[in-house]
Amino acid sequence: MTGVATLLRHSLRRWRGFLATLVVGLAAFQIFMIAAARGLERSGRFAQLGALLPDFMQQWTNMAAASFRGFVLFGYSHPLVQLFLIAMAIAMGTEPAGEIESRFVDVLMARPVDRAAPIARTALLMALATAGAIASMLTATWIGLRVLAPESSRAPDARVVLSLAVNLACLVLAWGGVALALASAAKRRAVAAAAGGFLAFAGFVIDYVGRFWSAVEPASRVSPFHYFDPFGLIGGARLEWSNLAVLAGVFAGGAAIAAVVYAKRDL
Amino acid sequence: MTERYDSAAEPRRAVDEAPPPGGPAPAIELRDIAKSYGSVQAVRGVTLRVERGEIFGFLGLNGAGKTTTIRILLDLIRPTRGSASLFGVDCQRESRRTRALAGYLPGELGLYPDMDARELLDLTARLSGGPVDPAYRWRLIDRLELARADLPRRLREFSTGMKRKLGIVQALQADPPLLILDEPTEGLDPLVQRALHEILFELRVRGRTIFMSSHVLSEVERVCDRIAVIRAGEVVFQSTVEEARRRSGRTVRIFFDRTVAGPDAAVELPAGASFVDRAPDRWTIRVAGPLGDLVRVLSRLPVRDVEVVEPALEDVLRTFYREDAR
Repeated sequence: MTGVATLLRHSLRRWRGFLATLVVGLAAFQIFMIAAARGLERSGRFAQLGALLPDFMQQWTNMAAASFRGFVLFGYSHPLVQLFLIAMAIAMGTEPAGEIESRFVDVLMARPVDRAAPIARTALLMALATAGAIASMLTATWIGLRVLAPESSRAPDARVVLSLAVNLACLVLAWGGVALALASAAKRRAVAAAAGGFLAFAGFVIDYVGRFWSAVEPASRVSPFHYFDPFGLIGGARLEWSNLAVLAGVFAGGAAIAAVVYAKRDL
Repeated sequence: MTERYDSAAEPRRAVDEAPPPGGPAPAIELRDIAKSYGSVQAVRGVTLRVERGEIFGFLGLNGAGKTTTIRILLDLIRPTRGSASLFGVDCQRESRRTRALAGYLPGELGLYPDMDARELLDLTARLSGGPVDPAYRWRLIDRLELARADLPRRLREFSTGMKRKLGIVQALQADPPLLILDEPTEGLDPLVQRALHEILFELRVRGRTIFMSSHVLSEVERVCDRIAVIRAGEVVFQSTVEEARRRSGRTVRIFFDRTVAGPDAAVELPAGASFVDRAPDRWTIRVAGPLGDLVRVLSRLPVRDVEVVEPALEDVLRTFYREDAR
């Protein structure tokens, strides 16, 4: 597809500062979580924490907050981490709308570039950024456990860490696909980003409520968050491939819709 | 460090040897192009033909439909009706192929402020679909007086004029057979405007076609071979610049030695001539066509001096700009 590699190189260059901050920030957060878990483990407070948690929380989180292992793994499902990564995906996914709004699209698309190229570029950019972010988290976890884990503690299983990381990456990409589809039809980036942000918030709420209230559970299936169950994975459940397939499908579907809409629209 | 520009040193490119596709087809052909946004008709049935190797001026007031028409040519927007082609290649069906034939300077150059100028030129060069001769690019930069030292600077530090110059370089650097320039001299100082005009003349000599929109009539008069005027989305006038001038007619001012009144003043002007002002010691007459018949009439009068004022394109086009003129 003509122009994708050039556009991707250009976008990576534009986003390099943000990506570097993201990678360092997420890695630092994982190290911080391990350091905090080490402190709690050494002071014996995990047992007290477990006693303080109400039953439903213990059940929901699989005691993720009440053990060294669970606390470290919590770094992959922490609301801040999800918020940061999904915000990144939405920001990147709305780049085509930003180019239209700023009229930079006239400079790019007046040249022999395929209409699908900006969409493919953005999808690849999101995939690379997500992979980089998750890789930095995994690396930080590995280094942090080697350096900071107390001898008495039980380190998290590598399979569980990988499962959480892959599931989280797919969730982030799914929201990126939604943002890309919205951006392909938008004239203003802020509108697409706000719509993406609102959908993500609504999706989070409906999934959260659906986990405790069975009447809402069927409706929560429309939310991509429904297909990311970190506490289930922390508790030993196997990674559901169907969950990954749904999230990957949302990403691919969003990108496909974006390509079709962008090809037909006025720029 | 600047090099003196030598047009003879211009690189011979593939495009010099081989004409663009489409054989004898015109560089630009618009057939009944229309574009609507809901109930608003931005362009209404524009039909235009721009021949290869000419400089064509596309004139109109702000909001007349110039930019919309240009963006249809580049397939940035899709027409509601009609078709457009560049060198015989359909702009919508073979969009990518046609865009490879054109260099474009947008009227409103949207740039990321955190990009630097060199980055923009490199990006647009890579996307242009053909090789860009660095020596040619440097010559353009120098002739447009864009300091080489400014190229690594962020675009947020660039003035409007500097951005315009950069926009011109990015449009011209791949040396495409067709240049589509939307208000190219907007924000440029007179010396750089002149330098750009010289570049455009040289490009025409080398067979390039230039389609430029403008609302600066003096510029169009100086640079263009042919013009079209668009008003409220419709082309209301098309002709060569010379023909447009002729339509207006020349103004002849006649100064007499003494007062001309009574039977002396009862002259019958030849066809195509009419009084604009008639004072006893001087007349002002508008003449369309040759002056011979008027000179014969005046030979019977005590003429001291005659002043012939050539028409300006502006005089002609002003009427087409007005809403009530058809």
